[in-house]
Amino acid sequence: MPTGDVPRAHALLAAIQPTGSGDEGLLFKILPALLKGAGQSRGAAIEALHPERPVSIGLSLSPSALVQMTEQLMAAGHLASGARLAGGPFFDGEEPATDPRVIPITAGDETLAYLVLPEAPEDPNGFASVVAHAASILAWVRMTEKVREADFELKYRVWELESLYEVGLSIAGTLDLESLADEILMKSVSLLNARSGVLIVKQRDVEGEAYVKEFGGAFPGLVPGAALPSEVCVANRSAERPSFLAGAFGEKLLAVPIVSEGAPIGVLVVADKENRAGGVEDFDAGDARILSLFGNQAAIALENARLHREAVEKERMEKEIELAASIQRTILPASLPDVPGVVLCGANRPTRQVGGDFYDVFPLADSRVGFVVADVSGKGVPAALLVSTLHACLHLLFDFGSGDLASVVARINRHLVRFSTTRKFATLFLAVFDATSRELRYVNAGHNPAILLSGAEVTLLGPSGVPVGMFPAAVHREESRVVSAGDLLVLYSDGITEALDASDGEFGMERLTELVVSSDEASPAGLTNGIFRAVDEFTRGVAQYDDQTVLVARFA
Amino acid sequence: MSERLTVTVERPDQIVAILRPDGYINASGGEEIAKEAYALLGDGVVNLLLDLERTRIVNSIGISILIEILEKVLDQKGRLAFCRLTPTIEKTFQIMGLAQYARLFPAVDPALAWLRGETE
Repeated sequence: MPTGDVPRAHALLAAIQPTGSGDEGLLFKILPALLKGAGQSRGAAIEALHPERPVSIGLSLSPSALVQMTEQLMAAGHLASGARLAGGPFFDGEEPATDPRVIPITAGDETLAYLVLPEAPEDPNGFASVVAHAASILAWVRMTEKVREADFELKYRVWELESLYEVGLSIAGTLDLESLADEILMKSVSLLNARSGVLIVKQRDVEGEAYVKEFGGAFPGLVPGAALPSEVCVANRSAERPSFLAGAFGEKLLAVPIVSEGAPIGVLVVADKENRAGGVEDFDAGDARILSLFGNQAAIALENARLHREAVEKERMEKEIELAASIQRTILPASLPDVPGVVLCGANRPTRQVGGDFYDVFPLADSRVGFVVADVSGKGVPAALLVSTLHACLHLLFDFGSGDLASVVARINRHLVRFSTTRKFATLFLAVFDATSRELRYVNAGHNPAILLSGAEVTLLGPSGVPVGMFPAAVHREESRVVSAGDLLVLYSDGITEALDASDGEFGMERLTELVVSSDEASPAGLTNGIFRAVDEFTRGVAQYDDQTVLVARFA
Repeated sequence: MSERLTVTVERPDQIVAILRPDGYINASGGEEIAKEAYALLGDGVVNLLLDLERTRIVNSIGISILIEILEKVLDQKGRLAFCRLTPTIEKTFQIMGLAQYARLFPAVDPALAWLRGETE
């Protein structure tokens, strides 16, 4: 048996310049030196961390056979034991080895590689120094690999944090849900090394509808009727898969809920975490933590967008209220005209949500005066526009001397039914007083009964027809009566009689009538103020929810 | 952009080659790029430009493959450049160290000029 050339072996090892991690040919460079030191011409070397890449010199085995034998030896534990190889499988089929053995190449407690020789080296001490030299080279490469892996891991963590930070900035800087959802989904997929992902958010108040952002084609959509998860779901096996993901194509899934106001409104899912070898591996707790962070950010983004929408809607409504209020302010009379035979006083107290009350007085020819109190259904701009229409109709019709009040109301009714697109209607009490004949003619179209006080006698002038704007063929009846000097007529809207106190009790018709009868106020202004005072005392600070209008006429 | 990555290769001259990946640079996508890159290196073309205009997502495995390509290019004394990266990918490359040994450009022409040694 040739003797080993230990100095030559050391020289060969010293000439090796490893390129660091990834130097897959390093063992092939080391093996000749080891064989030189052992004084042998054939052998194999197997890297401990990569047993799938054994190298050999002087063997007649094919590469695949070499790999197969290596796997068998690993499985049987023969490599780790460093024992003499039973049967010398590496060397079968050629000159049999007399004493095949495995020599571990170690640095400290770590075995870096295995050397397989057909015989034991003649100079074990000298050969041991060659093995130690080879071990130092392999240890250096292994250390650079670890440093490189640690560096990569550190940079990956920075990447993770930076991604979360960027999403946070985006949430603060935009309300574009489309781009935010895209950013959150892309970052989730890339950071978790997933192959695909989906972000699903259910539409509020629309059952079965969902906003879906998808990447990678693994998710056909929500399973109809399936409940969204309220907890993190790690489904690395099919049996672990929740029902709502039953249709997903991915092999391994990780899902986190998107929660808003304590309830799940969506889900963020990624599928198939891939590894370097091209396969997929299980999602773990660390992955769930990262995805949960992105899920939380998605929830914040959605909440921001919702709050913004609400703020925009609130601003729009406030502008609408202001517009409606300005319309109403232009319609309500700033002051009432002096007309013969009657003293009038009117007042309107609108709510914050502008309603549709209005009142007006129309001086007419021949000692006549017309007056009206009306209440349009609904609130806001649509009601204000109808008030404006009604106001214009009344002024036009009275100006042209329209004749009897029933025909006036009938024309108004037909106009509102035909041209109002908002399905709104109005109650009104329209009256004309002739100071010469002392005749009071009126039409009550579905309005509250007017209170006529003549001495101590109270008469309620109730409806003589339905509200205007409801039915095209509605018929309204004109009523009339003669009033005496000193008689009092009180018109009002239901905001007065339906004013509520703290226990939801109504001010009521009876209380108003009693107030009118018992009032010692001689002037309409005094009585008007008295009515509003009484309502305020009754409601005791409960918020007003409807317009309140009063028009009082004292006939001279 | 398709999720399964494809790569087109353009060789404007003997000095440089342009690889244009279209899709997700993950494990399989990275391997596709590596296959084309190593073929070019084997052909003696050591100055490579990766035009990432049609890539908007890359994961850590894709990045590690790009780093391996970069190491092999540098081993052969070549140059590697990237161009038309999205802001997100550019920041990722800077964090992960790719920008330390490769150059990032906003457009193809300045990248090619650098690869050809016409600029520094």
